[in-house]
Amino acid sequence: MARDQGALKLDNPWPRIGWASLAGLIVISAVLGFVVLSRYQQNDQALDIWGAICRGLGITADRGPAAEPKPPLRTPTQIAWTSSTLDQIAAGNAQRGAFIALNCAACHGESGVSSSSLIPTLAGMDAAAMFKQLDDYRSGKRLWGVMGAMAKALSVR
Amino acid sequence: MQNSSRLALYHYWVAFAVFLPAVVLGAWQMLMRSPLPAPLDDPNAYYTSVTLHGTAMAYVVTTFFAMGFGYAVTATSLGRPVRGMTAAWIGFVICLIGTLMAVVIVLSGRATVLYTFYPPLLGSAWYYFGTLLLVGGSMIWVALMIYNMAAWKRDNPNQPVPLPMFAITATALLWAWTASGVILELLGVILPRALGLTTQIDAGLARTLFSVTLHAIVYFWLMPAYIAFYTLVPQAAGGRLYSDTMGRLTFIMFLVFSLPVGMHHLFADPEHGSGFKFLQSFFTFFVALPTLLTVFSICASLEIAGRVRGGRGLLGWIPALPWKEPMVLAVALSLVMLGFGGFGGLINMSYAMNSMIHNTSWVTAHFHLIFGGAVVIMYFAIAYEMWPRITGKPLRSKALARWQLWLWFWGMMITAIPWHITGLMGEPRRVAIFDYSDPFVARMGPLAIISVIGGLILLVSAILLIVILVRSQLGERQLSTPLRYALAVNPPKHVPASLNGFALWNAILLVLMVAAYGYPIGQFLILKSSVPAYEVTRQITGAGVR
Repeated sequence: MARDQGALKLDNPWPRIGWASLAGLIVISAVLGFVVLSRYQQNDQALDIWGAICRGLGITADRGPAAEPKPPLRTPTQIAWTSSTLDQIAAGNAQRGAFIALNCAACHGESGVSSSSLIPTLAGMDAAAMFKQLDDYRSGKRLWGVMGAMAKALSVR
Repeated sequence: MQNSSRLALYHYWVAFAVFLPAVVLGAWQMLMRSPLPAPLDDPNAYYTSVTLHGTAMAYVVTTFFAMGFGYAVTATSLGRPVRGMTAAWIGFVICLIGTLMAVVIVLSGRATVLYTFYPPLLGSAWYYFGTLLLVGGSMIWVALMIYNMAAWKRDNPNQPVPLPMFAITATALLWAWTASGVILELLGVILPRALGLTTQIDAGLARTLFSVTLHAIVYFWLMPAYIAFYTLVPQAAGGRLYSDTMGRLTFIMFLVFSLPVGMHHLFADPEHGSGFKFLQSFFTFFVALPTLLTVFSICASLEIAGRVRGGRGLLGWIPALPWKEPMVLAVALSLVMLGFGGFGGLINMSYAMNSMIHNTSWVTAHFHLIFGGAVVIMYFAIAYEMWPRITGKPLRSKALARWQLWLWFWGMMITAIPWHITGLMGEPRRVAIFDYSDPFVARMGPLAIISVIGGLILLVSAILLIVILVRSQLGERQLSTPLRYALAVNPPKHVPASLNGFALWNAILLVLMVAAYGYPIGQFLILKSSVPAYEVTRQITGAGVR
């Protein structure tokens, strides 16, 4: 033991033990994780060794345990806050928007402050909130006769 | 030497001064989650409180305690003053400024992002700067520990580095490796978005980088407790350390195995494949090795002490131990909590079993037993051991100290065991409001109330701790014996170079980190996983919506 004077020289026992254990550990865990587990976790007969490794790396999406028919998606809205949605809103034409908004003033008040408890105030709402509500009316996710008709007349832009 | 002592004492004072209010917050959080009425019944206040409690306990208390402990250990184990005192004080001030910044911003309600600050949650940039200063300032401490060990080795060629110094340097290296994850996350992902340089935030990358920190940081908290196990406990029990080599191996294994395992916190994350999740889960099992080695080694050391004191027979050495010493009592209580907490941890880290308890209060209960129990109770014992040596003023009453330790033990057990059970029932963690009129949630009500009782006991114990330390500080100065560390049964004369330094182990760790994290982090260069951030810099005010 006292001979062991170089911490990194491979002819000393501790560095040899250390590196050998490391190599063994990585090989065993990689085989278990990327071959055995990836192949048998879902017991997919069609998966060959490369397919299993790709699945272990997360490159190929999991097909899931069963191919049941998917029920139609029931979500409260069709809007997802992805970056493209936000970019689209940011690219909106404010002048055109102001023109269209003249239609709203009849019910929601001239400066967007509503006087009725049935009709919400629009003043202070940001573009994203307006976009989502109008889209929900347009796609029928939110039901209110007047607004549904108003929104259906509008385009996404 | 005097100056090193004052340095350690200042660090301890900051740690314990932050500790008490953080315990108050913790107790209030338990009350808020329970069916009982809580003062200031506001969910926003709850999340702010969780952020503050977590930041204080996980970053501030532990970092300051470990740094103070490191300076004390350096001076006493090497038998000479700490080198680089000016840098050490500068580091202390930087960490203090960082702490104050973070606390003020959280209190103002502009950084309620919880202490793991997972994006897309985004708080005020000042909060992140504060955390960065705290973590960055502690890197001065890391450099000083390495420098002091290297300088001693240069002055004492071919001599084995004393075990306490070897262990605290392992702690410093571990912290440097650990903190690299959160530093990269802050500098590379969060701060650019918080400062408005980017429009989106890569939540997947941020979570992966944080996972480098998230598990190993626990071992950074744990290390002072383990150093006490090996070097202070046998001495306090009146015996010797069973094996010096076993101690060195333990700290080396902690350094190597605690790092490439953090992805076991991301089992439910979609951005990683199952292969790496399994790989890191598999590595995590090896962290149990140094802990089992330590439990064996400490029990053997205590048996030696018990037999020296006249214990006979198979178990006769146990009652022969000096149970009146806070250090000996603390180690027993600590090992019990480590056992329960470790058992829970095995379930957390198992790829399959994790899905039963993922993101439930089981996880919170687990790390409260390990950190809030096994580790913190050793911090108390270390304080009781070191305070008299540093100040020259002995503890006024060891009986009071024992009361404090017992209260903490029972408080933590009463809090955490029911908390585990509610986790198994499906109670989510980090949630302010539960509808106890719902029959599914109502079953958890009585257990939550028991946890509140545990929380109150913990609060009493924390107050008692401060009372004991302040009473001792105000007491009369007496000549006290200097701190001495336990000798091994066979004190080392020659140690192989590999067990007397960290060159080999850092090289091995580097390879292991590249194997475990190279691809999972590298894939984000190609993967487009950025999302808009959710800013929480403005707090919605208003009463609770129960």
